[in-house]
Amino acid sequence: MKKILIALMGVMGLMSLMGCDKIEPDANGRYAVFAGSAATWTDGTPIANPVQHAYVEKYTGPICNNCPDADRTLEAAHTQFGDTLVLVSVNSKDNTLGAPGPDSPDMRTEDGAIWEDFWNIQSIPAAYINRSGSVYTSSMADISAGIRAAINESPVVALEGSVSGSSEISVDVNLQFIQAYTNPVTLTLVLTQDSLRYFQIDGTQPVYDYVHNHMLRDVITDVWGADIDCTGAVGECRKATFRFTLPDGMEYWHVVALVSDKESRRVLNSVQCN
Amino acid sequence: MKKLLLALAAIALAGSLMAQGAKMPENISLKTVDGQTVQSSVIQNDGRPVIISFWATWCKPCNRELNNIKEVYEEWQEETGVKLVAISIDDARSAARVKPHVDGNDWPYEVYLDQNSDLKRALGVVNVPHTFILNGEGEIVWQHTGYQDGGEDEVIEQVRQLLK
Amino acid sequence: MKRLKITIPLLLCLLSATVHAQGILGGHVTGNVQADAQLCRADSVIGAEAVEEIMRMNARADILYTNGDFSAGLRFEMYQNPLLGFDPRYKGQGLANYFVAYNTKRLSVTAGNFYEQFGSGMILRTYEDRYLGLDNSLLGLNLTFRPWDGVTLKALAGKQRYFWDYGEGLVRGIDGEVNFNSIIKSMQDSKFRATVGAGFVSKYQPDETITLLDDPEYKLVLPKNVGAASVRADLGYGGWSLQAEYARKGQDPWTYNDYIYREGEAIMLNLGYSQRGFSAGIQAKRIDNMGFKSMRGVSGEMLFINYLPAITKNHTYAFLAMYPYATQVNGEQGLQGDVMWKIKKGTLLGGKYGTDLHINSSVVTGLVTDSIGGRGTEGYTVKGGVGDLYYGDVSIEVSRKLSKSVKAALTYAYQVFNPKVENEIGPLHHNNIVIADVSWKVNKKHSLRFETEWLGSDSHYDASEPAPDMRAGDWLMGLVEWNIGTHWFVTASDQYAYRDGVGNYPSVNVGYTHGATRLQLGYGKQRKGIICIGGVCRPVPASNGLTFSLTTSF
Repeated sequence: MKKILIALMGVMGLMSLMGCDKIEPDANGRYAVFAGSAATWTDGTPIANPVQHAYVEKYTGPICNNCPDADRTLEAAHTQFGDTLVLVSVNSKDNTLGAPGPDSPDMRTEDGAIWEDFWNIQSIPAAYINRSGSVYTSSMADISAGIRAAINESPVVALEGSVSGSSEISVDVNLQFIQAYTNPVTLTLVLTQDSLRYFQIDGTQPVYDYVHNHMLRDVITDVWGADIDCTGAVGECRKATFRFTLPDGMEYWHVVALVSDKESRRVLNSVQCN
Repeated sequence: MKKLLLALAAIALAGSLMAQGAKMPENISLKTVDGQTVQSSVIQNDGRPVIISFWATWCKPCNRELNNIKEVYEEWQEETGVKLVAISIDDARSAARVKPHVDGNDWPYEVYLDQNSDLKRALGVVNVPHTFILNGEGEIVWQHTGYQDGGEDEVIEQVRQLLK
Repeated sequence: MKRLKITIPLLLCLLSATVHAQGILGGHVTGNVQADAQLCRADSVIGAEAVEEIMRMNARADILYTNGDFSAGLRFEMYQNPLLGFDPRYKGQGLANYFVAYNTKRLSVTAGNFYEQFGSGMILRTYEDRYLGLDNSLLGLNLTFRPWDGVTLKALAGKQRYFWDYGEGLVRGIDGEVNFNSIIKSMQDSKFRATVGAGFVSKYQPDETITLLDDPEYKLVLPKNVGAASVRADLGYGGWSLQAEYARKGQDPWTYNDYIYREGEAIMLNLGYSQRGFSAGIQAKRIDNMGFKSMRGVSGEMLFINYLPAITKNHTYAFLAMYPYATQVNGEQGLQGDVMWKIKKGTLLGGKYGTDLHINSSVVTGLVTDSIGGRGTEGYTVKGGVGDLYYGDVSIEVSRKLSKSVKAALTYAYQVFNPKVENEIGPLHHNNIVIADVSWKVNKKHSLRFETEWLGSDSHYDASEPAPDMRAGDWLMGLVEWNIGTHWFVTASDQYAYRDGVGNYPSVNVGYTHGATRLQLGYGKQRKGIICIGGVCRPVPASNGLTFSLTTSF
């Protein structure tokens, strides 16, 4: 009894000792991140050639032996479809498959975990096109047909994005409603990174310098996006500028913009801004 | 509203009917003036009566009561063998002053600190001063709230009744 | 946790169940009942308003059932409507507190609402004060384990009461304390006494959106878990004693520190010496950003996890307590000294019956800081030195028995008070206070007490201010208290601002005490001001009318 109680108290003690978050300030000494929700929307400019992009959100993990097969399928699709395919790769929050391998960074993110919970991802690899329709798994051999179908849809919203700055980054977003859309819509900005070399199980082989692309590092806006101030009438153009601070020394980064239905969270259009 | 008042009255009545013979709780942590943790079972007097007085350094009537009893305490002890235990409810603000206060006033009592008000709550004390008398079996046989000059006479009278 | 409603029949059922239990299983029921009511009338001079519902009432009943090592308790509270000055969010009635507990010599387990304290409470103290309308009890589990004599280990987790609800912040803590005199045989009878302890508390609250003031597109990265730790020692040698406690708190941006990320710190030192008839003590304290709440967005006195009492003396005379000091949890430093001396009877100063001398002095100042930005930054850095004076006082009390039946006490005090401690702007107030307190035991049955107080202040009543300070000016007070036997008392008093102030506050009270039951009926006026208990304060509005109070313990 006595030993059990001491052990119990020790465990509670250790648990509470871990219960202290340490926040690091940014270069300006501020403990804040860009939230985006307060960005102001103004009248935008018409977009000459509206393009429908396909957004693929893929869940992966370093200890997941089938994940490299999915990576290869999607890289081939990327070569085939070019910039019309927008990829974001989310490291699963799973404690086994998503955990970092030897000498590897932990690529799990809080935002990614929120997405994963919402879509109720049961196994990885897993991917959705435009956050709707069926889930693609294992080698995803059939995904290119889905991507093609998505690209061939006629766009509801045309979307452009551009990025400027070196550490204080500005993202200019411009959009135009091609078809009327009356549901509330949101804009999500996602920070991804390419050419990350760290451990990955590939089939049965451990690969210590596997190249990971499109990895989700942070959702710059609120995790499900910032409200777009618009009516959704045909031809309406809206634009806004978002700013955020790039983590120190980050290379090979990209900003991905998504316009989504606020309720169903289906992605209407997407673009990689840089 | 009436219902509520009735309910409160009923609780008070039921409570006072059952008050007789309530035992002094044994396992409530108190501190001595030297910082040692003890259990409330230390409050006993080898089968003789005990007076428990809840007080605080900042409470004027409490200090009057304990100072007035001090003047007759020796006589009380010789006559009845009673012991007075003073329980301070001072919190962190004034707890460090309890020992100096007791020594400064030269009180001959056993003094404990109930900083977290555990014993105070267990005995249903609302305000200080609040005085209890325990019989030799550790049962609460009398209690009184407040102090007015001369109140100590009633306390010793109750102790004498016990010994009859 | 949703609001708990309980109907009277259910309460009575529970009560009869416990009564029943007593019959079958043994055990005892103890507790108390308190009811306070007021009937208010308007008085434009002092700013008292009539209340719509004519009568206001606070009432509560604590019921505790004990059977051997087992106990269970519940508390019923009713505020219909809350007395003037109590938070209107208390309005309502219901079961406010309940617990079951198991206590043995070695182990205490409480499930339900509990009150606990680590050390002096610098990192954790849950307590309730019915006169402040304050209850920050934790609802959860509390374990205390004493594996050996002299060793106490505590662990707890829970959520804090917030009026009729519970805050969403989760509080977890552990504490350990060792008394060396108990565990080391050779120290058992030593003149040297030592107790050391340490505790850790962590609170968890989910993320929320709080934006920067100058750049609302940015939101704060909030720590969801905030930790606080303290170490303490209580040492003694003969008549000497030394208590020391040091506490630190991690980044904890919250509304009262304007969401800055500076870590918190507090230190308290207490040195005392006492012998028969003489004692002296000195206390030093410094607090830097140490307010610790379980919810970051909540202002006011609810949901505090820790307790930082004022270093100043807790005065009980009316005019000494007219300008009370409230702890500045964001930053303060102070010193307090205290001497008590019982001058022996038969000496020149002691007179025939002896004389008591009590001197107390305290001074509290702000910290000297350099601001490095507001919300969302480190906040400030602290330079050494002495900041703005917040409060200072010195008081001397001489009391002496003049004859077998007459006792007198004379008090003089000087106070300096900075309105900043009440978040007001204005010059320092300087007060001189003289109090004479004479009690006369007329005969075995009757006694009388006379109290005269004078307060001279350099503050002036200014009717043009939006909320003029009703305490301003020079005051006189007289009080007569007549005790009849040990059951009845009657008091009559008046406080009157005779210069530079306004207001005349007469009041009459009649009280009856029988055993542990006390009834009090009063009629009078109450000045708008602040009442403080332990450095925690609440404002009380002006009132005029009849008050009724009943307390009983059983």
